[in-house]
Amino acid sequence: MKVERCEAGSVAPDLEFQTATGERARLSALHKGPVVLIFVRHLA
Amino acid sequence: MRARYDEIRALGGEVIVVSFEPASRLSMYIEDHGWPWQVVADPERAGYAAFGLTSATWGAMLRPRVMVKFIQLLRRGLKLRRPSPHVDVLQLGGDFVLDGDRRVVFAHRSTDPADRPPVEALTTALRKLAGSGPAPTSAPPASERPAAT
Repeated sequence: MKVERCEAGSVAPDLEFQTATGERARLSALHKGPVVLIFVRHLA
Repeated sequence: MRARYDEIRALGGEVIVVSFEPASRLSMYIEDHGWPWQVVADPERAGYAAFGLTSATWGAMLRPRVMVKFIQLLRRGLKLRRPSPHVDVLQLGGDFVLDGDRRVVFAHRSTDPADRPPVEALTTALRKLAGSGPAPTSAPPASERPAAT
């Protein structure tokens, strides 16, 4: 998927993630409303 | 972040943590840390790419402030786990605030593992969305703010 880099003011793509149970979920389905989205580096 | 989580929820927000570890490993980390928020996997790092998150150099990883932060985390009981095979241990993270239409209202891309915005920057952005107070669109330089946890 080629997308433009998300900058302040741009609209983020509706990314698809996997939940801890392995289900696929779109960002829009994870929460209806404002989101603090934190991309972490290697979990420890 | 944990101390401000109730405030974030009260502002209508939710915290979603994205990891590039496989989904099968997430439960272990969630249990270790007792995180109350959602943690999801992005093993192909499509989200990392979309948000312009790059990999650090080893030089950045070994900066003194990164070492200090690492020692602080160890003292707080950080459990060290070997990363999954083939993951990029140099991948950097970032913090973003999106409104309900996924419009980015705050963006911070880490320049090293210790470079995190203050939680106040995130809650201020949420507060602006909720209709009160000005919102920053990025955090001040790391040298001008305390390290976030």
